[in-house]
Amino acid sequence: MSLARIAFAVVSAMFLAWVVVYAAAPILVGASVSVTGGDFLVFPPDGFSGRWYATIFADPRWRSAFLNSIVIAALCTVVATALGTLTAYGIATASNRQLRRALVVLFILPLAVPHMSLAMALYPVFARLDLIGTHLGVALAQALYSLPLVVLAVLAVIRRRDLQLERAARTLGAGPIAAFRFVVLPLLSSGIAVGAVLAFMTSFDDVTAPIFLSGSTAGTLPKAMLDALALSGDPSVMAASTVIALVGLTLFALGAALSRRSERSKAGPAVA
Amino acid sequence: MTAVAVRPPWHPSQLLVGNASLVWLVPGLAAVAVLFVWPITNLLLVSLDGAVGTKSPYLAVLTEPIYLRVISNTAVSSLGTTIVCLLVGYPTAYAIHVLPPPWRLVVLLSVLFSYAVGTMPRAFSWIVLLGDRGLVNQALMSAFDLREPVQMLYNQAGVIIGMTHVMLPFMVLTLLGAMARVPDRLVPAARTMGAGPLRAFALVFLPLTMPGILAGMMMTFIYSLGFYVVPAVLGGAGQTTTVMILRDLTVGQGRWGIGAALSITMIVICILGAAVYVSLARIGEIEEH
Repeated sequence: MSLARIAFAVVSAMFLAWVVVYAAAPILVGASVSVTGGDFLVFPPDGFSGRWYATIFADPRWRSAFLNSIVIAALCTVVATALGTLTAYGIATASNRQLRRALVVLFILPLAVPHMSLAMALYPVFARLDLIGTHLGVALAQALYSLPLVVLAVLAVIRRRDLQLERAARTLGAGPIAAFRFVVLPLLSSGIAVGAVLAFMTSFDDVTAPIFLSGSTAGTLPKAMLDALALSGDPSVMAASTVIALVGLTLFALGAALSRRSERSKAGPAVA
Repeated sequence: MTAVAVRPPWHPSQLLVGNASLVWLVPGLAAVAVLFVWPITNLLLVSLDGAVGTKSPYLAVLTEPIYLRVISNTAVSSLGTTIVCLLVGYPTAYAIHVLPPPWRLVVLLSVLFSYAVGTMPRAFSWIVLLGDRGLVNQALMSAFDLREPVQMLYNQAGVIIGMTHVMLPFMVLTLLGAMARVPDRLVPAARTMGAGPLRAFALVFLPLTMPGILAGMMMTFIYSLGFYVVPAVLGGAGQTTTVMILRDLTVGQGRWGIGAALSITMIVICILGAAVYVSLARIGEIEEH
């Protein structure tokens, strides 16, 4: 009995260590190579230097890719968050159960389709609308990828909130827009914030939309990473990769903090 | 006339809530129409229209060896990833399920950590780990006294390792959902009635999580079909997958019929797979209050 217990404890400890190592270590190893002093993608890093970060922030090609990534992710976040919030609210307040179900399916559908196929399908349409090679074109494609995530994040919060408050506001004389702006939006703010975080992360890490739609003018950081890997294969790609990872982790922590806060205030926001 | 005026305005009537909701949906529906329905319909038409010589592009895809090769590469890496993900993911999810809270949090966070860093960094990190002079080979060569490094990069093994790493969080979270739905007392009940721990697990717990297993496998499979970065970065020339040839085929060579046929086939498979996933994982419950 006790021997079996000890064996079980040892095995689970080893297993735990393995999971933690498998899930997190590759990223840490990759990040460590970004500060190598050498010219190759090898571990352990060859000395310590910030030269590859200097490269990606000084080289005009990396820098414009970085700026494009930020502009595109910001555009994608604004579009997806605005559309997703309105859509989730519309779905939640639809009168008919079947209709709600059908709408959820319709808006989640883009999540199931391979992004590369979506980007490819958008190419002829965007060519006709003159959107190829523009920030807006890439951002709209990524907004399509992110829209289901925002809708789901906001719907999850709506489920925990009391939308009767909106009716109360209407009774007290608020118009539908005022009630939405001053009652519904504050109620849903945590879900909206999580949705925005997911949209930004999706855009910042995506390479499929830039591959088809960025032309030569709106290439993003992930696209530049693939190009640089094919061309030189020096550790600058790991510096760019680490920047993406840090942005992702920061945003994820932010999203987690926001949804925790919303969990704690189940009854409603402190605003009201 | 009077009946309408008498009805209190705060009553949740269809008039107030039902119709108003449709207005909120207009921007989203317009976006989905322009960015999703129109492009996909257009693609479908192109695939039905754009004959290659005298053959339909769908036939051309099925008869030309290059495309068959690419399709089989996609199927092999996706199936491989699905199986490895289940083998690694089930024990991981089970550990999270049964561990005491602080440990549970550590494992869950390490899995979510790898999700949060994104796909690009994960794919690129594996180059450093799996190369001939990479960390894994250094360890293997010193542990087993090998002369030659084991080839793990630019082949199917590298692709499956990288894709498993990316898909694991989705597999684990799906399985956790299924495990949380297993009633607490069933396994202890089986133990009381004389089943050993393994028997109770295999005959009670495992079958009850089967919908989660199937859902997780389905999700991993359909996501793996569409993977671009991992096979592009960790695979070799022999691991070219379907989505990797789409850009060259269409924007590069102008063969939109073939590209559209390949894409539409993948989209149909993925949507069918997603439908199975939704029914298995009971995603529909999301909108039931």
